[in-house]
Amino acid sequence: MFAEGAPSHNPNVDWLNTRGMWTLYVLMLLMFHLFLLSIPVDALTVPVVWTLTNVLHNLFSLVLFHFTKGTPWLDTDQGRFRALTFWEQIDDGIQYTTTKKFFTILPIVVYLMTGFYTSYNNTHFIINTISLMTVLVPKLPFFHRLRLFGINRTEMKLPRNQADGMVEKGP
Amino acid sequence: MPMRFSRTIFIPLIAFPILIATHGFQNKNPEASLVEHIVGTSWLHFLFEVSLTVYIVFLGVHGMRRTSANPVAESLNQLTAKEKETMLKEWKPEPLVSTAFVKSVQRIESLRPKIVCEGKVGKYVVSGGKKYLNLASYNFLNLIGNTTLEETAKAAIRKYGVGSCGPRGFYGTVDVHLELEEKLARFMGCEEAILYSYGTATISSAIPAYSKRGDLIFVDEGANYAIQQGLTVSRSNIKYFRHNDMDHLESLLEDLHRQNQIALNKPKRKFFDRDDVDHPSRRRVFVVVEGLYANYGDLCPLPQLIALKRKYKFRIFLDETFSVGTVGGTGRGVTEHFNIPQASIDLVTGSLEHALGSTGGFCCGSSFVVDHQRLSGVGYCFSASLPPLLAASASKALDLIDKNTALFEQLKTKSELMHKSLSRINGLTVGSWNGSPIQHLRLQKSTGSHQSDSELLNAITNKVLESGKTLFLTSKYAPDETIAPLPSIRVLVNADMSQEELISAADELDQAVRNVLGHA
Repeated sequence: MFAEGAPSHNPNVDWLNTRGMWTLYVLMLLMFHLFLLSIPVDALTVPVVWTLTNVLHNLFSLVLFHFTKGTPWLDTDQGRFRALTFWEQIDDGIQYTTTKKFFTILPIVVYLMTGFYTSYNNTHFIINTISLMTVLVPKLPFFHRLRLFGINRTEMKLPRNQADGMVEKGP
Repeated sequence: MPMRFSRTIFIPLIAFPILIATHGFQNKNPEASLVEHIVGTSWLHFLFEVSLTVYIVFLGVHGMRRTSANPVAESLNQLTAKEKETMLKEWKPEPLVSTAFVKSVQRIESLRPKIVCEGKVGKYVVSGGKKYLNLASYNFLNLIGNTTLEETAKAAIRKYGVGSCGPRGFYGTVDVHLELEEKLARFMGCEEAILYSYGTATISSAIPAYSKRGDLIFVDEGANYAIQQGLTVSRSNIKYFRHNDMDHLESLLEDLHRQNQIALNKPKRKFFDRDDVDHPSRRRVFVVVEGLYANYGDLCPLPQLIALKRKYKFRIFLDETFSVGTVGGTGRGVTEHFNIPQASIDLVTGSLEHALGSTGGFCCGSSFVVDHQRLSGVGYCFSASLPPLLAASASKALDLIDKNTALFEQLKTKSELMHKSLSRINGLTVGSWNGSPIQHLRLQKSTGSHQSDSELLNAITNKVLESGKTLFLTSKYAPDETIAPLPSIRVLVNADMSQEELISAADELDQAVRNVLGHA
């Protein structure tokens, strides 16, 4: 992270940029899936476990990326970052960066695999698709700093120059 | 709202609603093989997965290849060695202080007389072989040049050396600091006092130690430069009320109260309206006032302020930089003058630089409040502590003035006399409180611009310097004052000056005003 000689400029999300973190993330997801598979309950068949993995992972990433805002452990005095979710803070809000691509592709891949292992069953398909959309839609560039129906909004009464000062760069 | 548009969003956005709407057409045979499943699956299901795959491919081939967490370093890496060389050659450092600022300081300075003092700057100053009565130094109790204090300072140098060589929390504390803090707390009637090494840094560290972004500060328009710096550093929301106008402050507080009621009564969506830090319940409100205004020489109406505090619930920061050691029967400041218990003020800051003839400042209040500054007061944590010799002499000065009611009575009499004599001058008005040792004289008829007012007043003081035996100076304001006060001649009374000296000084000023302004 500090290889370029400059310190991390947003410690909230910079840890997501490293290759090691991506590997760990995938490994932990795999471990979680194996853990679910190992539970000796008859109802937890392979298709059910895949759907569970998909849904719970999406729920986790929804909370982590799209519900957590600013610096979660600080109360006040955060300035403009207070209104931004973790996803919006990644790479200063620049779109299509490698980190963002990785964390977009990952749930899609899990979804496709889930579709395969559930034999394209209707019920599983509906549950998994809805679950996927909850994490995929907020990741689209169009939804950057957009709060649908005011969900998870922050009332910012900062001066305009502070509230709108985020870097906005296209691909 | 930045509307960043990309066609790719339509792939999943259009596919999903169609899929949901037409889901009933799917193949529902559970016995089919995997191949049959894929082939027999609803074409919409199939289309959705294909579009997701296309999206993955799109992301994969998308031109953006950003691998670094640091955009600056990344863009630097893309430069060739030659480009870097050119950039380095073209780079010119920005001046630390803008040229406009420097020019404006120079313009102010060019008007003021150049006085080179020979010897101590006490009750009298000698410049160019001529002896002047000094009405331009904050030497209210004539402690500058006091032999007892000088002996104390000398003894302290022999014992501790010239400096403490570290901040208070980092090997910079010696016994005289602790002793002085204890004495100051006792003198001011507070639980605890904290010592700063520079008077100006005291209030400008104390304000940001408590008031943060999102908090609200009401402040008097006439507040001095140190307070203004503190307000800027705190990053709080600032609201100014007219100088000493408690009705204006009340109307502002009433507005705030009304807004708060609206915000508090608004139905709160518990789950969605998270981290609403601007909510009134999470915002601190402060009122910052000066005890004796440096730029006006008048007292703050403390009793009315306390009444407002009871009504609207806010915290009071009182800057007693100029009132400690000058105002009140025993020099305890405006609280003593108005007979208000010290405990009703949340935080008091004072200075050792003016009446007490030393250097540094202090802040006092309850232990709970003051102790916070030992880790949050920027000036306390990051400056070398007050040199022990200055702490020792300030401590001695406190002993000298403590319970010395005669001294303060004397200062008040002299101030009143000076106020009375200055009030008689035709062409200038004295807006200051009659018992104040700081008297500000402003033009009765302002010329309309600060620059020409300043020129006129400086002409008057220069005239006195030429023909008289008194040193008057115009007040000095920084070019970046938030609200610059009108230019004035600042007269600073010293308790040790005789009645005759003060009267003749006022007469000299009167004569110069007649000369310059051309009054009969």
